[in-house]
Amino acid sequence: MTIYDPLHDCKLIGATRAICGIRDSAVVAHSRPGCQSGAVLLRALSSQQDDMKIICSGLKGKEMALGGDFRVSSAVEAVWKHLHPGLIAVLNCSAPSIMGDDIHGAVAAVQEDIQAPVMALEAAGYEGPDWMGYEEALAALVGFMTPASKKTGTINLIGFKDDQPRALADLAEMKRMLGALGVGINTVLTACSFEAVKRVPQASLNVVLGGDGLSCANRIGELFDIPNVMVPYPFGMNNTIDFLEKICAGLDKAIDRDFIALEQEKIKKGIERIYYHLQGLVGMPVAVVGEAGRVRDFSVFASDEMGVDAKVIAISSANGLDWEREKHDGRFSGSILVTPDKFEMDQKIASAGVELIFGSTMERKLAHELDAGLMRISFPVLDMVSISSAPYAGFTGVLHLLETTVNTIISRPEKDIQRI
Amino acid sequence: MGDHKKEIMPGFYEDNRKSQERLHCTLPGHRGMFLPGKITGALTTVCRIGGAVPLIHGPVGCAFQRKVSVFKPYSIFYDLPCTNLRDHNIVFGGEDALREGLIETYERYRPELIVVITTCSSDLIGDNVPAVAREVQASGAVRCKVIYSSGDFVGMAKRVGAQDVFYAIVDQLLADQPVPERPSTCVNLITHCDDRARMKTDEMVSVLGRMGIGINRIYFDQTIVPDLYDLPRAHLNVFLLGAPMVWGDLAEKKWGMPSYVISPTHEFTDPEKINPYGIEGSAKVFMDIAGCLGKEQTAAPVIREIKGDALARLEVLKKDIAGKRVAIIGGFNFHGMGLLVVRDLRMKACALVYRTQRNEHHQLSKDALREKIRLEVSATKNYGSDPVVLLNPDADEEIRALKAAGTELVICRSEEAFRYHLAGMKTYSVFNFAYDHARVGFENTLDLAAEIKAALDQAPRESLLLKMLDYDSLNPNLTRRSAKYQDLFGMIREGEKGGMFHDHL
Repeated sequence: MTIYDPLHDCKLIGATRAICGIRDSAVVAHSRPGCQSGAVLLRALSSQQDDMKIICSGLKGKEMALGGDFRVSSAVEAVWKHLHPGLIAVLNCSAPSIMGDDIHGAVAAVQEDIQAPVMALEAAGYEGPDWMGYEEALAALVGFMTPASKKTGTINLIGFKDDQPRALADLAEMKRMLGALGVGINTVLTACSFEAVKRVPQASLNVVLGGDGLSCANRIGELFDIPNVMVPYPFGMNNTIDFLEKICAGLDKAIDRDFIALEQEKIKKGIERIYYHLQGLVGMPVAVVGEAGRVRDFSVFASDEMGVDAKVIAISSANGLDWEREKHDGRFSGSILVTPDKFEMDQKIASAGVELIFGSTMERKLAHELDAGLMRISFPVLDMVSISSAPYAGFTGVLHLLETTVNTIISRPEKDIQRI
Repeated sequence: MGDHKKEIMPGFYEDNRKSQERLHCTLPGHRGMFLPGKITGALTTVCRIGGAVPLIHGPVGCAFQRKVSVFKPYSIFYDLPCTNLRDHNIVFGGEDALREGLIETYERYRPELIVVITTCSSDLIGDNVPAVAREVQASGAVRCKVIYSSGDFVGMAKRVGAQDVFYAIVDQLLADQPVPERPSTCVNLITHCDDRARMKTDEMVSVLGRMGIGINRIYFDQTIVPDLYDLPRAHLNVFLLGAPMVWGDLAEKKWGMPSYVISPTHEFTDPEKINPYGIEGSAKVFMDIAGCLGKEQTAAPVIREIKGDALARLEVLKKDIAGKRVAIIGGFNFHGMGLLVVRDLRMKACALVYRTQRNEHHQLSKDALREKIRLEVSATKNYGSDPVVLLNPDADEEIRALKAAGTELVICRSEEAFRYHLAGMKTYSVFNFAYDHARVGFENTLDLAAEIKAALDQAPRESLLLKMLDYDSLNPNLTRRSAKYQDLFGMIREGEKGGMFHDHL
């Protein structure tokens, strides 16, 4: 099959997502305007409207023949002069990459006049999918990290994406839970300042969320002697306990079971209030579509704790884990599709008779056609904003997930999309 | 595959609600902080043609990112196949991928027309798209028409992607179409590729009908592929757009079919000459169309009658608003609103406020800007106004000046309304006019009069939560950080010309 209706983006967007999580960073997309407009729009619609971060180098059509590296130098200078970011990342997109623009040379030419580090990354669309761009950009940050003595009991959280639905609320919940257990977060890659990126080697443990950012964690481990622990994205009660237990074990720290019992009691009180509805959820055929770092863990929660029947699990964008193996030998073998063609995924979901899709905005039309509910749990979510402190992760997230799932089903919109 | 296969068709699925548009039109989009590329325009056009399927010839990102339209982010191209070009295609060429992709697209969707939309990658590696398109049709592997939009910037005309698809339709799809017989006098109405075709054309169709002028086709309103073959049957293409389409010239050359542009901004800057709206503007457009078709004799009495009736009704409606002092923000010509309020509604323009950054991003020179402002002030004076002119004022200075000018109503874009409310002023958002009324016809002025009356009856909202943010003084609807991004976008993209009047970075 040659034609491919993608569920994921290209390297540019992956790299952009990794860098934009650094609060004081700026991204220069060396590209024709379309690439930058797509990246900015995704950011604006993912509740980041005050901090678009991504600037176009301004490459014009007439420069497609003669080269546009000079655009990189002048854009970097302008960005430094007017924004004073802590880090500037130049991402080389398809057109200049084919033209052979020397962005590394262009960056080197201006670096000495700029008091912030400038990194140059190849991010052409034809070079690979978004997750590769994400992994490469995150790994490239390791070059800025400086050796330091360790702070005991602290972790780096790696693979966190701040444009996922409810992301910042999720992070706050993770901090709350870890804080209650006496675990400090040294740096979150990426939801931090550039200074915090440099301080990564101070942590005692790298915690890899859902497998995202694994190559970065491995590189940090090799260079700074920090062990890794892979944890699930803490969707649901079991994943959350697993998340906390693995981190505490990695730090050689006893876990406070009373804290967990207290949190479970709060969940129980919520469940009591809607338990008839939750009884109805058991056995409901659903599809789960989302990025690798979230979708498997969400499926485990949905299957084990809500009791729904995950007929199709589609990984819209992969990561460094071996998903082909999971597809054949894992718990959900037979149900998992790895970066499928959207047309084929739609067929499979349609024939599975699902009544609810856990997915992204991109599944909206399919849900409409199947008369199924759609609950948005994975990037890109462009038709809902996310600014309140209502996490999907952690113990607090359990009730929000249950509440939103039930509401998605019982409160359907009066009018949905219409085909032109 | 099941029955679902029949339902999946790449296309435009739209959540067509005014409230959606209202919440998204405030994004600092086109030339604000970003500029969509040709693919967006091309897609928007292709997806308005039922039975046509776009095929993106490029890497995955060119398809995935373009699923979200910059123009209408809430209307998504959910299904958008691409040829998934990878690095080996960049080295060895993508023609095989395109060939297979066309065959698979045909097999999968059974469309009546495939439009190949090329990307930077496929353009740069020099894939011979025409040859592949010809080959797959000639071999019978693809049993529908295949055309291609290469984004060649045909005729150096803007809206590159949309322009190019139209051009491809006339040049490629209708390549062998002979000059047709045209039994009765009729026109094509050509609108923007958006959901408002009906709003823009319903009244026109009715008035033209009374003038003895029929409608051949409206492009695009429920247009399907066979409708495209009817295009040459009209006597005239009427462009309900601000600039001509190059394909109109090609149609004239091929079929002797002239074009009429309702708002010829490429020829004039005079607000009177480029404004097709309101009672006077619309009467002129209808007479012009009649003139193009030799129908002046039949048209004149019809237009006179409808216009007379509209003017009589307007006389009653404008009693409560004529003479009210109105400030017009951000462009007198924006959707023609400025002229309508001073000419048709006889309101007094007490202030004209210009923020020229976007004009500068369009590379309008200082002299051109001055001339534009001079013409607009002159237009208000023709109707008894003598406005204060503010050029890139800072926020406080502007509010003080508007109050000193005795402003009773501010006409502005949606994203600016909040700050006038906070200053205790009433507003009317141009969005309301643009969304519901910006069309050629006699009723829209009456609707506008009623809406402005309602806006004048509304108290300003002075407790908006939006007051909690810190705004830029020169781009007062943007936070300081956002204003820097906007300025940087203009400056980097347009070089030294951007930021001509701005020095607040």
